[in-house]
Order: sequence, then C-alpha cells, then structure tokens
Amino acid sequence: MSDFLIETENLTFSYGSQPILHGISLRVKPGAVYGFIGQNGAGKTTTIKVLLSLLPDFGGQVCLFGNSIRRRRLGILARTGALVEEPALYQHLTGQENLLNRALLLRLPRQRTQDILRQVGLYEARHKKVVAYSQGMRQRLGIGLALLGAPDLLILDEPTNGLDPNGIREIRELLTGLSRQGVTVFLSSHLLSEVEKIVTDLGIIHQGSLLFQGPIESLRDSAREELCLDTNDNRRCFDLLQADYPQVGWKNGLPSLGGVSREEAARLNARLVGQGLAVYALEWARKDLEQLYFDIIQTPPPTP
Amino acid sequence: MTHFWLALRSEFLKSRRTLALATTIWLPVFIAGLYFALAYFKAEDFAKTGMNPWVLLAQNLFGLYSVLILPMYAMVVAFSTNQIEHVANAWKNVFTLPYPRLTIYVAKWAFAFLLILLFSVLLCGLVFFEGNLLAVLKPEIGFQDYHSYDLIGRLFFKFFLAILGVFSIQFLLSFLWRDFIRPVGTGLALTIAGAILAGWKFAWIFPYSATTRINEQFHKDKTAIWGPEIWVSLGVTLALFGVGYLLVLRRSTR
Repeated sequence: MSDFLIETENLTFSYGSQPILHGISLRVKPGAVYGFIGQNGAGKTTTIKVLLSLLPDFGGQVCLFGNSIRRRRLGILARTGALVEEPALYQHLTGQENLLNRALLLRLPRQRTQDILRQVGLYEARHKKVVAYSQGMRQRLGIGLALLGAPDLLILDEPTNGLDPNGIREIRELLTGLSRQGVTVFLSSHLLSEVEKIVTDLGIIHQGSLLFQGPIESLRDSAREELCLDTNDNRRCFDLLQADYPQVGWKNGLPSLGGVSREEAARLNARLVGQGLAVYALEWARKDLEQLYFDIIQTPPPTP
Repeated sequence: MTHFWLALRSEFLKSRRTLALATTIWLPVFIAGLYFALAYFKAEDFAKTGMNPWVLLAQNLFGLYSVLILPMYAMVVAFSTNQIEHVANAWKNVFTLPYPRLTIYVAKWAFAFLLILLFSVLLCGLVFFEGNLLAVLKPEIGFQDYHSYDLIGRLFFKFFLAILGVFSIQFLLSFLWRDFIRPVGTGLALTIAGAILAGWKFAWIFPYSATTRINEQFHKDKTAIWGPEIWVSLGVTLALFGVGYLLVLRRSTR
C-alpha cells in the first residue's frame, strides 16, 4: 500500500505525435494541500485530466487512493471532486438546479445543495440562471459542484480564475478549512504567489517535466541570500555590475546579486562610489519564492 | 441499473427550458392545431371528397410530416441533447462522475429516444382528439362514421421506427461535432437527398428516404408495419449504437 494519495510513475502523454508530459512522477500525501505550478501550456491541465481518467491513453502508472485509475476508475471518482479548466455549468439552469442535478446523480439529499450554496456564497443568487452569473460566481459554483459529494480528494484546476482579491481570499480560507478537515487538495495555478500561502507541498512543472517536488518549506530553505543595492542611478549601477556579475538581476526595482560574500560586497561598494555613484543602501535579502520558481524553470522574471 | 435511472432522470432535469423539450410538447400542438383549423374552416371540401375523413386528414398530415417535420425534429432532438453538454463544456465534468461512460451515453440516447416517442404519441393522440372534436363540431365531415384509430396509430408507430435510423446518425454526428452547422447541415442535405431519391429502387437502403417511402406506401394502401425500410432503420440504429459506445469508451476529453 502506497503512502501517497496520488502517485504517478513516469507518466507520459501525447496529443497525436506531440508529446505533452515527459515522465511525471507525482507524490501527494494524504491531507496535503498540493500546489501544482506551471506556466500556461506547461502540462498542468493535461496531468489533471489524466488523473481524472479523462485522457485514457497515457503511459506510465497513475494511482489514486492506492488504486490504479485504469482498474478502479469508478471507486476513485466516487471519492474525488474536481473542477477542470473553466466550470462546466448548464447555463439555462439556475445555480441551485445545477447543484440539484449533480446531487441527484450522487444520490445526495437536497439539503446538501443548500449547505453548499451557503458555503460558496451563492445562496442569495441560487434562483438566478447561470447565464446571468458573473465569472466569479461561476467559478464559485464550479467549486461548489466539486465539493458537493464531500470528497476525500479535491482536484482544482486554476480555482481562483476570474475571482477578485476578496474572492481569492475566500477560496483560500475555504481550502484551508477543508484541509483541516482532512481533505487532500490538489490545485493547479500559474501563479505561485496565489497559492504559496495555503499549500503544504509544491510541484513545479515546466514544458511537461516536473522540475521540483517537495514541501514548500524545503523550497523556502533553498532560498539563497541576495545583495540588493540602492543607489542614485540604479540602471547605471546594474550596467556596471553586469560586466563582472552576469547573474545580476532586479528585485523590487533594485539591482540584486546572489552568491557574493560580505567582503566582496564591501569592495563593490567602494567600486561604485569610485565610479561616482551615491550608494544609499546595501541590503541582504532572501530570494522570494517567485524568484526561486523562475530560477527553477530557468526563465528570467520580467524586469521592472 | 440504478445508475442508468439516475442518469436518465438527470437528462430530464437538464432538459428544462431547452429547445428539445419545448419542441416535443409544442410542435405537435401547433401542427395538430393547424390541421384542425384547416379541417374546421374547409369542412365542406373535406365532406365533398366522400373519403374516410381520418384517412384524408392523415394523408394531409403525413405528406409534410414524413418529408420534413419528423426528420427535422429528429435532428433537433439529437442536436439539442448533445448540445447541452457541448455548450456547457460539460463532457469532461460528466465523465468525472463515478458512472460508467456507457451508462451516461445510453441514458442520453434513451432520453432523446423517449422524446421522439413522446412526440409521436402526443401528435397521434392530438390527431385522435382533433377528429373526435370535429365529429362534434362539424358532423357533416363524418369523422363519427369511421373508426381508423388502428390505421393511424400503426402509421405513427411505423414512422417512429423509420426515423430511428436518421436519429441515430444525427445523434452520433451531434455527439462528435460541437457546432450547429456540421451535424444539422449534413442532416438537412441528407434529408433532401432522401426525399429526392425516395423513388429509386435501392432507396430502401438509405435511412433518410425511409419516412418518404412509407408515406408513398400509405398512399398505395400498404400499411403493414414491417418492411425493408424499417429493418434498415433498426439495423442502422443498432450498428451506430455500438459505434457510439466504442467512441465514448475511448474518447479523450480535451
């Protein structure tokens, strides 16, 4: 019996002759809030669709709850709630009718739909047709549909899409609460900053390959110190540094350098002053997760 | 089996306020209403022919019903029942339910099948009601002098069996293609071809000619239910049901 609730082994998938996933080996522990991060087109949704058996022609092994998705599809899906891409809603029906339809299929009492409507903040709008819902309301109803069956595993693909900051915070609180109740949450996002506050574990996928996987703390621990320099002409400072330090980057509008010692920092200060720059501050800072993420996928972050 | 009934009930719930359900209920009322008005206001013309008015009414109705109304209705139902999922982008959602894919497909197919059956029964019932109402309101036509329920009922049933082949083709096309133009456009072209080719000696093999041919046979007093058109229709239905099952089983939901 595996220790993991989701476990894939060398998962591959191709659309026709175009390979999409290259040997993904996911490990998601029970009770974890697992953030699956990657840029658009990295393979997040494809992975999720394979986990949910929507793409049956994959290579490798996929096990959920210790069972192969190929052999125990129905048993696995009975314990899983999912939101894949944009919410799939019947627009000619009301929010409540959408939930009632799902409740009928899952053999749940009507009362459960009322509870979910309250939980996702749509109780007042329950009699409105979905066609009249805003993007945020649709997203919340989609999450409500995923939650309806009180699943042990919740798979959410970009759940905060279309939500305003308040809505994002509500979803974060909702997911944190579910996690406390023992629900395992697997959520994808293209923004690390959006999920870093709630996830316990992280997987970073880039161009179909899993580049990092582990507890978010291990990623934080790997954050290296950086030297940030604030001068009267930061652009010139950046140009001056670039000749000798190709790793120089930008952080919060300031030139920043990783991998320099304190002695080297003092020499740099003297050199910049010698070049006529007024140095206001030399500050040691840790890299944030977003920067680490970009380091991992080896794509430079946008410069200010 | 529980899964099937639940999925079928879900299809009925989803069909609220849809074109398929509205057409099933209101189109027969509209058609029967028009033919009632025609008979009511042209009662003398009806009476003058000296024919069995039930047969006369059926001949008037089945002309358009066989060539246009029934094939078009089958297309609308096949399109609309699948379109619900396409528009909502819901196939992926439906297939993440703890239901066998076959159950979902069969329930959807059965729902559309039941709508066509309901449409046929409703129109047949309304024709009976219309004849009896005219027997009271316009006794000079003579509806009360004949009892042709068996004949009309048999013909409605025959048309129902004959349209199943067309419905099955359209259902599969609408399942595969998410737009309106391709499934309905193809269906329309094939329906026109079916009507034009109906007189051809091999047209019995072409499902889209079946209803037109049955109407022509009715005019020649050939009203037996079972014939080559019906067998072809049922054969196509069975074959395409199998094809649909294989497709739904292997279908990737991108």
